[in-house]
Amino acid sequence: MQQSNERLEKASAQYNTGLKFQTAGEDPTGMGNKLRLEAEIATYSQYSINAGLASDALGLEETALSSMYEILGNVVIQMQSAVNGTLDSYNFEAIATSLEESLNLLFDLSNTKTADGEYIFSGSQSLQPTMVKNQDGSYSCQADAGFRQVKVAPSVKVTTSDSGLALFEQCQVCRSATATGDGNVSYSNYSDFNTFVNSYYNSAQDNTFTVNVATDGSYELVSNRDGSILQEGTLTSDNMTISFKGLEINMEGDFTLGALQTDITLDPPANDNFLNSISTVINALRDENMSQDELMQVLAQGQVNINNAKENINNALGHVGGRLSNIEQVVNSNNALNVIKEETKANISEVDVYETVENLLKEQNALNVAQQTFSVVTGSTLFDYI
Amino acid sequence: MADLLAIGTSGVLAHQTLLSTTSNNISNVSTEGYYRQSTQVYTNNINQGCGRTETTRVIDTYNQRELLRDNAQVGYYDTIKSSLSTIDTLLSDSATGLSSSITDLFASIQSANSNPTSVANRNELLGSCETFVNKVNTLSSNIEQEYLDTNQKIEETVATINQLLDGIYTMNQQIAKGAGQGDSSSYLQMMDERDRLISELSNYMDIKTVKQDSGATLVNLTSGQTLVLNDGCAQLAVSVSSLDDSEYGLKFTYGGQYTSLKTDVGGKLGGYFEACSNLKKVQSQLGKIALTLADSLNQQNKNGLTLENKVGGDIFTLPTQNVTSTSTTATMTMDFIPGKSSNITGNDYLFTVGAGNTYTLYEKIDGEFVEKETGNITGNNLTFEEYGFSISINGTLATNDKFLVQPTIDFGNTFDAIITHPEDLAFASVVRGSQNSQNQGNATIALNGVTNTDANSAFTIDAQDRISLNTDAPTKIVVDDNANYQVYDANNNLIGTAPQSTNGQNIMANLVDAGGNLVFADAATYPGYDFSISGVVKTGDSFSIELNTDGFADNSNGILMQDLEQAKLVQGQTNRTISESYSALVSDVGTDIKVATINYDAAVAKQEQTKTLNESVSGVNLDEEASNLVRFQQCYSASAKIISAAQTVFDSLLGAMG
Repeated sequence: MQQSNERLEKASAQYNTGLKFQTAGEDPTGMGNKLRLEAEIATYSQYSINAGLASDALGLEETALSSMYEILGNVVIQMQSAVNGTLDSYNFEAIATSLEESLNLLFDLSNTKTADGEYIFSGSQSLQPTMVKNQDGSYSCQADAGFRQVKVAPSVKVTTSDSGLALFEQCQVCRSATATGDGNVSYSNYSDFNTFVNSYYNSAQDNTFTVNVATDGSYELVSNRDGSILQEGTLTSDNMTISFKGLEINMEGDFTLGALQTDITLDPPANDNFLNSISTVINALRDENMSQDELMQVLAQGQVNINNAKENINNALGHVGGRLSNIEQVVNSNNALNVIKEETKANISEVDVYETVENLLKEQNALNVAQQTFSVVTGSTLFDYI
Repeated sequence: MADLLAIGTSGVLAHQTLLSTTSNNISNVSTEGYYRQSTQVYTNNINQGCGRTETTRVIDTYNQRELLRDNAQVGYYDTIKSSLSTIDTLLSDSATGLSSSITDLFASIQSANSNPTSVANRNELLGSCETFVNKVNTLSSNIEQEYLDTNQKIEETVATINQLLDGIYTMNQQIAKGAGQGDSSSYLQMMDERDRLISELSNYMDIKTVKQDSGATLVNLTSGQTLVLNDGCAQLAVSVSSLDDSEYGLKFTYGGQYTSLKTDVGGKLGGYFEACSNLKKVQSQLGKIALTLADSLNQQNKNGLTLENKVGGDIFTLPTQNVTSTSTTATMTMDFIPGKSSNITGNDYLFTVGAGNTYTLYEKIDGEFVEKETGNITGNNLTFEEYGFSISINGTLATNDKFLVQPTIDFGNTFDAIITHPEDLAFASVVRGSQNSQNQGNATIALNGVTNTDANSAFTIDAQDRISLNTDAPTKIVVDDNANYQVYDANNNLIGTAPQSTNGQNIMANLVDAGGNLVFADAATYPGYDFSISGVVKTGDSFSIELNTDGFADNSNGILMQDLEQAKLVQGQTNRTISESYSALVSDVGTDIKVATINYDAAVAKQEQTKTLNESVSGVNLDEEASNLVRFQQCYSASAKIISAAQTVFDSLLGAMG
């Protein structure tokens, strides 16, 4: 009867709590497994929360960058529209004003803040703005190269911020060259020239060429680095321009009188942020003393610079998109794993309701029978009959 | 030829005895410890009629001894099971157990870290730390309380045992004196009482009995020690260890000096001692888990910058532990070595002072002290790095002084969270790297980690916890013509070069000088940080390393804190994470209980069997006694009839003579 009672109590406890065991003493390995699984399930739910936060942050970044990309596209079109010989100073003023508005929008977007007041592009120092306007009207970047990461799986860390240093400040500006001697330089194709400088320039080595024009008009473009001849040809008195990789070298003087020589030094490649590039163009458009040629040069440079900036931002958008889809995959796999773990935990520690009810009824019956037989067995002795 | 009267009388007297024995049995049917008595009537060797009667107890001595053994087994496993079950419930329950606290702590770290500048999230983490500390304190103090209660029970049990031993001895004396009345019921019942006392004693200890001819029964422990002798009985007492006043032992005396006794006496008393050592082990292990987690988080916090641009400090205290000793001239305290918590084993250590200012250190493994090392005592502070603690001595040591160092037993009670301001959590790393904005390549620089901010690193920490880089610390990396990474300090002195073959990974560790030798013997110690550069580098690209001042958005140190959840921090036969270690602890306690429960069930079943056998032999069966009563009544009436027949004969004889 006692044992029956004990079993009944146990079945009742199981039914009421839904758990197969309450303490480790009843099932040590089961309890150990259950605790481990519970810890893992809790960790995975935290990872889901983190993934949500990461998606939000990356979503904000994606929106800001997409808007910037669009505005920069607009800026290029406006710059192109200014390359028109028929425009006068009023037209230029109009273009300059609309460029200025785009500039302000871009400045705002580069200082995008989260709801908590943190600047998303400032790297580690998120409490200070990414871009600031200096007293002289130029813009500088205050960001450092820091980034924030978020764990979304035991060994997967997703970067949730990108630094303005790489995105905005490290945009290539047009390369230039300086001429000394009997010539000067101008640029016919900035893209070609930029490509050439990027591949040729080496800060540890000599970056100058010498152009030697002989008295018969033949010229040689010699690299001072290794003495190799990069280009040779003939000049005539009415065509004193050497075209080399988008660079126009205009020789001055009369080569029939004596050999001409000019040294072309490639200026060190530089990076600058696109806000400054746009500023330069705006100032040029408003400068009344600038000649048409110079203005066209500035506009050409501006377009190349902005295109470089666009490419930077486009790359960043690609990274962000990749991360977002990565997060989605990780979240899906986390959820699947979570479901499996929940199921395993339930198998180990939870009871099947139907089974428990069946058990409960069975034990109740057993107890009833035991109680009845007890009274029958202990009820009668011989003394009742003698 | 005997006369009818005498024959009848002998019959009546014999059946009278039989009847009184039967009625004695019936009246004593519910008496505890009563053995059924039966009277034998022997044939008369001399005359006609009944012979002598002898009343004995119906007893199966083999069964009786078996029951003593069974009682001890049941008592032993029962006490182990019940002493551990409170702790078991505490540890397993999700409200009081530590498992959910640990995951909550790490979850709070994660949410605080995903938004490192948010003070609200940091406050939540502080709250989680407090909860964790509270749970550990509660668990530890509950285990300690259970342990002290068990000690109390030991004392009470010893008092009960002493009373029983005394009782048995007294009964033995009386039985020996009354040996003459060998067959009187009261004599037999005295033996019943003595046997009952022995049976009760067997619940408390594992005993054997030896019958003496005088009727007395001597009692020994199964391990050999005699408890009740012919001329005296032992008295047990609790002996308190001189080094640890919560550690109890056993000793006994015959009225003179005390001799110590091993505590594996079986029965309830043995069970209490076993439960005590199990409880101590659980408390040690719990302290070890808490210590490892606290120390790891502390160390990681020290490698980061707080929201106030100061280097992080301890999150939890690692309190100084008191050391108990037998010395009258010196005291000792024990401190944990920060960062070396993985060397803590959870065992106790004994420090003895030898001649000539030497010491010997023993480790308590499985209850035995094993010698670990000896050496000379130099100064007042000794560091045992391979065991994770250091000791400091106050006063003068004398030869043969003993000190008991118990690192983790009391840790759970005294450990606390020391951090009060949410800004003091250091999620940002101490240094950051940046590429120069004029770099032509697209390479980026990333911090591998800050591993050391102590005095032997490239950092200097002043009294206000502000950190700065030394002037000779590597702070600039420039890519040369051959894509090697040259590293300079703040004064533009070249420290070394990492060759192009390293691909920019682990620059500090791979730094070689002009002769091709490694510049830093261990980059993890000095400079204490390392960087990797990934991407395309062009000649002349440069990268700078600076203090992460105001870099509050950085959460790289916090990420390393999160990684501690999966790290195998707890050392042992296998290395485990904190959560795994805790569930292993719970499993171990559960296994002990389960084993005890299974053994208990088996012992109870065996005991039931023995009792039933005993009952069937020595128990009073009312039906049997009822039929005996009827039978002996008839026999008595029949014998009485003989007397009346004798009277009739005599009357007829008298009547015949007129």
